[in-house]
Amino acid sequence: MEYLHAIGTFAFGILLGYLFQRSRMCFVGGMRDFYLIRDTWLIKGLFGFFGGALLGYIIFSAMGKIPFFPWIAVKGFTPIPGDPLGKAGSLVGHLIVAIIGGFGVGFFSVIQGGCPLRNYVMAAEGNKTAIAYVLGLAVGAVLFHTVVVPIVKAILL
Amino acid sequence: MRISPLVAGLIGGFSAALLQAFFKVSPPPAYGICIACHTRDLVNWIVNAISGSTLFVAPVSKVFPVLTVVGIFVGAFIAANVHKEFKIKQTHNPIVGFVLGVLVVIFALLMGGCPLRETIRTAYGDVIALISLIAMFAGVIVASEVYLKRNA
Repeated sequence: MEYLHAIGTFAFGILLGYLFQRSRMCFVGGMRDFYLIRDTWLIKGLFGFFGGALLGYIIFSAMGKIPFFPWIAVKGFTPIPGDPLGKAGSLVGHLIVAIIGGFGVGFFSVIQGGCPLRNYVMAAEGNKTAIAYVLGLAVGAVLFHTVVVPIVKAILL
Repeated sequence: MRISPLVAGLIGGFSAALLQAFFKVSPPPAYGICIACHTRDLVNWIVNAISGSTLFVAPVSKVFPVLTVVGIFVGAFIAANVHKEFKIKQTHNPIVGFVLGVLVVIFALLMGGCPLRETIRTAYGDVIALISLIAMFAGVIVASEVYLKRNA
């Protein structure tokens, strides 16, 4: 089954899109509400997501479906798709892009009003700002691999 | 019916592991659900197919791209319509939204995924992903202080 990954992600995407729309799930929104008003309703979604994934990984690796995951694996473990450094990057280099990237996502997502997931859901609800944001994601993805990656590689490699 | 984020998160996280185990959404590992990377795979795959360019796509999306983001859009659209919450509106200027989209996807791909993928990577045992989540919380704090509190 060559197209199994596409069929599976599309089918599960529909289920999850439904759940995420009903729950108003938002990762950045959860962090923001927790920081500003100590409200834990939304951030429980983040911990639920973490717990669900952890449970799944434990069960499926015990079944032998997934290679067992080494805890506290740091270097050379996850070749990140599109990571500007790839396998050639040093540990410090990976930390630098992770910290700069994480900070930027948190900062600009708060200004936009939600994480990329939340904006996809809002776009499906008919929000014109979110639709423009999703188009921005598409344009930015092409820009990243044509413009940003060569610059980052020149600086860090 | 409202569904709590905790329940939606548990199902979402478990699905991410399930997609990797049974639907071959790998390599790379811990790639079951990601908004930024899967959008990138879809867009770059289409651009490559049309123009014959060789923009980067993840190994799993070489032949045919993963369709998570399309599914999430369709699922959310169904939910919004079933519960009569579909309404054309805007939260702020769409041009600003477009620029923020470009910025967010560049920073997200820099750290190797959107918040969802950083969470499942952390669950898979990657400490760098945990550090990027902490950096994200720092970004949220700074933006809350310098932006939200001044515009409140």
